Amino acid sequence: MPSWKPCVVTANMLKTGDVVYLGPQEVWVRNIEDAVVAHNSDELAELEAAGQRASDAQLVISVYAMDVDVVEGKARPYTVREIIRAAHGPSI
Amino acid sequence: MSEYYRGGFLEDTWVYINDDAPVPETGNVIVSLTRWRAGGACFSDLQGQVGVFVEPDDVFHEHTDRLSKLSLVSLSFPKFSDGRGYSQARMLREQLGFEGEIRGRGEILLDQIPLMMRCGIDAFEVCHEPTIAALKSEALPGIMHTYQSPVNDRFGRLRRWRGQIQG
Amino acid sequence: MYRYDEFDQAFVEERCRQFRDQVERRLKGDISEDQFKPLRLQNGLYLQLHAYMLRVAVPYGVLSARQLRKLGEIARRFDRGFGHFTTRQNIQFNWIKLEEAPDILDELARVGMHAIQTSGNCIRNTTTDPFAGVAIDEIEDPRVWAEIIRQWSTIHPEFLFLPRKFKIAITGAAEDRAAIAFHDIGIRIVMGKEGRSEFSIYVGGGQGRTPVVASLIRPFLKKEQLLSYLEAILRVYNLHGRRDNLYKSRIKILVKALGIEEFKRQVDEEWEKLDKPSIDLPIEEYERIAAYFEPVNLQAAPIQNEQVTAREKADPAFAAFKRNNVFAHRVPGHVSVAIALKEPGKIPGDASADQMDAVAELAERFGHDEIRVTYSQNLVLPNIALSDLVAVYDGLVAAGLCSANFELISDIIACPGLDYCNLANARAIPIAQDIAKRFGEQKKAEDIGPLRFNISGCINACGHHHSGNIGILGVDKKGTEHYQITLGGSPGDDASIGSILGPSFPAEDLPEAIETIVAIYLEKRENPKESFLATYRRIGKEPFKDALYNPNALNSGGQSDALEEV
Repeated sequence: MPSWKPCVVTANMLKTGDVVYLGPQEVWVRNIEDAVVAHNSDELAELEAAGQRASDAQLVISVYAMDVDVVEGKARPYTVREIIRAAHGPSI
Repeated sequence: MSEYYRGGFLEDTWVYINDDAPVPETGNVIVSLTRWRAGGACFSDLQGQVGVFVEPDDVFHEHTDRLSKLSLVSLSFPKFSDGRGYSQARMLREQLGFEGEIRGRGEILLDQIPLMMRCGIDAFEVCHEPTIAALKSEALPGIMHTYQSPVNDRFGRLRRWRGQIQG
Repeated sequence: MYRYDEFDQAFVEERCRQFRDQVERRLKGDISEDQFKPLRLQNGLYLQLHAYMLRVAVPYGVLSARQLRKLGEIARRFDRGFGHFTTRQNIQFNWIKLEEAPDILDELARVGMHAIQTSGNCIRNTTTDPFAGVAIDEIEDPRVWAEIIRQWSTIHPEFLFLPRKFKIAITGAAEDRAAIAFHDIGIRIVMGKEGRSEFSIYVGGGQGRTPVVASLIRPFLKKEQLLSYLEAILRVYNLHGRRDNLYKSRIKILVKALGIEEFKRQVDEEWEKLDKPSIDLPIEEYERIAAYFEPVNLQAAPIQNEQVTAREKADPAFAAFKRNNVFAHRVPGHVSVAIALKEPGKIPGDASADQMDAVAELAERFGHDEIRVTYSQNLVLPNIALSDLVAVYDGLVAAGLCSANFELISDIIACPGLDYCNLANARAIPIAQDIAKRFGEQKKAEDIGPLRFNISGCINACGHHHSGNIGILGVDKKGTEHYQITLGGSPGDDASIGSILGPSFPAEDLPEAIETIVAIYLEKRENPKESFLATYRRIGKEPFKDALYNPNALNSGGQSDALEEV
């Protein structure tokens, strides 16, 4: 079995372009720590389906799942790109 | 299902005939460029008119007088981002003097239609529901001020650098 | 400069309404994101890492004070108080909301500006020499033709869905300051037969994944035939350029695949068939447009000015500014002043709203209401009387825009990189800041002399690293940012593509590596007048390679040819 990497689903808001993450009750949140973490492929499929619904409803665009580290139960980005995105601004 | 638009929504009297199907004796038919080129004679008994459908990589090298036997050319836009049909249309109108119907088929979207019209395409097979709805409400989103001579002003009859399309 | 007449104004207002309607249809869901994307791109609106980014066209880099003020106002109202000037002589805003974009376009239209075709697979902003119209080595002002190309290409119905983006540059001077060799089409005004100026046309240059120096397709073209000839090139490209592979869809790949001779044959064949009179510009239209570019009426004045001389003696910073940022003007007693948006430690090409206002003010008071944006992401005040130079300089000091490093090593061209860009693999801005600070000391930078330094955060090469004397390319190496060094590129008349030196460096080792390269240059140059590029071309890359990758062998005189490049 390949090792499963925990994931969250992220997107940008259609109207503002703001970076958001899929939180509980299909609410999009700004803070990655508030995102729902998928721990297996079924959970991920559910998140992705919710992402698709929000995309179909013209709420968000550019929806994708991203791997995260989980620290004390909360998602944390680990690639440079996602760290910069999660910070909502440039590193400089 | 597509709807046929030419200034307004009209009944489409044309039928596409695949290369492996027989050409019917009556009615207006659209056949492939290859078939039309190969079989001039098999259209001689036809009661209706002949048109051809061309693909984006097809090249017309027919002489104007042979082309004038055609009543329609159907250009393909497999994706709205594939812009080859715009060039094909202008070449048909401006270089080959084709005066029949040029229709666009494929992914025909509202914002592209005014541009296609400016290149000489005058009819459209539209599948996209919001585009059909918009065309029915007569809301063509084109820009009336243009920096290029319109295609039907070919050969300098109405040469102008900047112009206004009459709405 | 060109001013919109009623026609242009009506056109741009129509375009604003059209875009507002497109945004409304997108928000309603009438059009999908896939269908909307090319529409928003053709209005310069991208989705970047943190927000939408709006790229505003600055046609051939020419701005009036009123326009620059408007850009400042947009930066304040709709962004976070700054804008970023680009290598296409445009400006982009990084923090834009889709729902506000139509309002921004309305604001731009008030000052005769727009964002049309600043992105998408269409003809982009035509770029030119920032010293056009004032340079002493100019044959003819290229802005007239840049404006003609702008109008001809604007919503040209045939060429909005090309296989890929399309960039045209034009120069009218002896020295190419518009990097025409790295454009899809490069145009050079030359003296033709019978003492009439004509165009030399180059085609198929570009950067990106496959850097190519453009080929000469037509040494002499009558100027009045330019548009039909461009149309023939574009049509051959539109019909035959590859559409199956994003990375092979630029015209340079088509030209390479066919060979320049066959490509030229196809273009000529198409050109022959075009209805030229309906495409080429009527002479009255040429004259109407050319009239806007009549030289500013400047009175010749003494070429020495006491106030300037005195300040030079008393103020080393002013003297350095004058040495590096002040250029000869066609009219005696006048100069062009380069404003470097490259203060070491700042973001290359960024200007704050206050700085835009300050430059606009200086242009109004002293500069005949004209500002230029340069290919190198700087600004130029082209028409300054020498007697006003001290006042202009003091104004720039007050605005924090007095860096005296124009065209020096710290005048770095850099893309936004991974800090803003959705495509980037690595950050470019912090690298530029680090390196500029290393070479921030004026004496050191001037001793090194002219050096084109470029950084791109990914292989798309928006920072033009291929044409940098020193070029840096950011790459992703197993999840960490690494940087590859190329040497020997040049964007000018002697256009060349840099050569990769060797394996990439992690960010923390890069400034040291650059120091080593510069040290080798200083050691090996024949005299202080031999530029970095000239030295590199004379001695080749080996000494630099040895110093970076095999310092011990260098000391013992050993060879290091075995190094593999990645």
